[in-house]
Amino acid sequence: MLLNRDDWYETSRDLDWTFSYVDPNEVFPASWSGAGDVPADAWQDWEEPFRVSYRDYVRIQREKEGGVKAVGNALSRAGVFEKLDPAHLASAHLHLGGTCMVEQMAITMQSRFCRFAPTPKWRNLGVFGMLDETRHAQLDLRFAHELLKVDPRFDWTLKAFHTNEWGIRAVKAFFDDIMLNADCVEAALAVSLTVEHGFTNMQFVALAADAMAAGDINWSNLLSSIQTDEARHAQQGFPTLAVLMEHDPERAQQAIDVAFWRSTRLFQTLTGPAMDYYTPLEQRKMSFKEFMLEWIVNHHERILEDYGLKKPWYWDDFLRSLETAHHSMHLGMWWYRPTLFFKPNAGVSPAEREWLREKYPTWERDFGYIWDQIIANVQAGDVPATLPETLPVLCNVTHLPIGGACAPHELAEHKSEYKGKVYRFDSHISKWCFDVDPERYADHPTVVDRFLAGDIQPMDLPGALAWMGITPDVMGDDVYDYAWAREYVNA
Amino acid sequence: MSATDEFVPIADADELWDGEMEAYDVDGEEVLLVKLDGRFHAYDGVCPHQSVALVEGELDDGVLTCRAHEWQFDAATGAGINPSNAALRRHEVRVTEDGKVAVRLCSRSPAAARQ
Amino acid sequence: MALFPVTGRYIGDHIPHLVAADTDDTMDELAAMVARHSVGKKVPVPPGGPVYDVYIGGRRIDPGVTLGALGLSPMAWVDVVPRGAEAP
Repeated sequence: MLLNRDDWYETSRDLDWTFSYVDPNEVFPASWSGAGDVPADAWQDWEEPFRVSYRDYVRIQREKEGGVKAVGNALSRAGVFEKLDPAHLASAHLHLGGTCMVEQMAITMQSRFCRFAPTPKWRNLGVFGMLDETRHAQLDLRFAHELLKVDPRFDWTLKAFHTNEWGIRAVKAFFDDIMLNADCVEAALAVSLTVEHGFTNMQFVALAADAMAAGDINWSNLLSSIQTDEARHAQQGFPTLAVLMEHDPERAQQAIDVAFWRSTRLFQTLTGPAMDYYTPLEQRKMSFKEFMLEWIVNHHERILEDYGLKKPWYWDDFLRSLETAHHSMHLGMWWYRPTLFFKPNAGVSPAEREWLREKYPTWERDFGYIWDQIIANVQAGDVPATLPETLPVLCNVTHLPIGGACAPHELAEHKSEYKGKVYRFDSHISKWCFDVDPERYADHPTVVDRFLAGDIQPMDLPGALAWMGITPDVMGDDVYDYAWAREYVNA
Repeated sequence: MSATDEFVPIADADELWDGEMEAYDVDGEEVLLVKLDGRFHAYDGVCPHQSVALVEGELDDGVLTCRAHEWQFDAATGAGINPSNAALRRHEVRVTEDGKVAVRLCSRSPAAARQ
Repeated sequence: MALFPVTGRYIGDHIPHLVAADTDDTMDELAAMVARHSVGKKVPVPPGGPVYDVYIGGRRIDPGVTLGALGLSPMAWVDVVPRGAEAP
């Protein structure tokens, strides 16, 4: 008699053996499994709800590949790319440079699940996850490679993570930590549950819609196709959380609270500027704040409630930062545009500013006067006065500029001393992340730490740009050549 | 149709072909209407996974697949196929004598009112 | 005389900057170096002209004092405001 799919699935998936010649703790060392004090039999409750057999997996993935390739081929003939808005392109450069190699890192994380996860069910799911992430990294690379002939910045899809560009180092610092250096349990909570299910799955759906609106059908199709894989491997977090809530809820709470804040800071750096400044005004459907409240906040609250977690202690401050932090990050990124590998849009023409005022009632008070000064300098023909002459100061947890997590009037010093050294932070929340686990962050110098240690020579801005790998063919500049500033009538 | 029984007409019964689905707004909530073997079924319009609109998915052989992450549901019952522990929220449907499909949101049903 | 970097924040700018000062710099000189990255660039020139006060740990430091005399750690946080403006 043939087994039905579910019975077959469980029999095949749960195939395991009892170790008799070696100590199971040597086969699955806690430093990689993350099992900690969770009793071995507790993992029997680990159950993934979304299931697929290997045969179905191969069939479905093959169909998807065919679909992506067909759309790509049709559009490359149509010359669609050349007609896209240059500000939209900045989103594509930023997204591909900032995420392609994260997909590549995720292969290693999923491979670790295959080998070291504390239950065969999870190890089985890791196989699919590993294949999914391989597909995602390769799809991004293929897409970007096709576009190299029209724009050298797409080279940074592959190159970015092999440079010291400061924003990429911030992304890398987070994923080195939670993907490459974390045990299976922490990786599932921080990456699968918080980053993937909580943030990027939602963002990819929104980004695909934005790309479609901008006429970038090929990229939209690629993003959607990647997204269809996520239900399978992003679910690794939930059963892991369920087990932890039974046996070590405090560890779960802390891992998720830290990952949620660090994910937020990266979103305020990458997604916030892309949504509220790079997306052409007529194509914006919701503001970054609206997106965060409707999608990220609602879903996170639901998960916390479903699993019996508390809201992070910093919840009110997190909500407050949605009004300000990404505006500050955007201003800083635009100001430091020679340190970027893409051309940012200032996004503060009179019409765009009107939109910002409507969406963010305190925007004008918090940031308007700074942009006014910049506009005055551009109008006076003094573009050099809108360019940096020194480095900002970076946070020892997020590696993002201090000042980038709040409005100017809220900016305050946050620091901790550890083993005789002073560490600085962009917020009291990042300081808390450090204080609960200083060893994790202490030995990861920021670009500024490197600069002060003499690793970057010559010790000036050109020296720093060369060290970051910024070359003249990709160096960022205002994408519309300051046309937006000239729209203001001289006062 | 009376105002008191909370059934809201949303479509003409001949508006959908068999095997088709469409989304409608009922008091600000998105409702998915599915027609299968001549019968209508109404569900919450968004996927219980990550709130993506189900009408953008595929309906094939009585199986509804969400476009975003391929969660699958039995379109005749709303029961989860993959994952099997999920389900669509079902709304009551009736076809009125004048050929309209009317829906009562599950939040408005007498059972909900008693809770 | 030695290189002494500080975290220099001009009140009103949205970020502090890395400012490569020197232990021999007076507060007036330090203030000018901090203000250089912000005033007329990201915040308006103050009405009283380019004269500033330095605050460290909420305390105004005498303009003639040198940085080296304060016993600070490198990258200490320094606030700069227009002279006579209220404390940050």
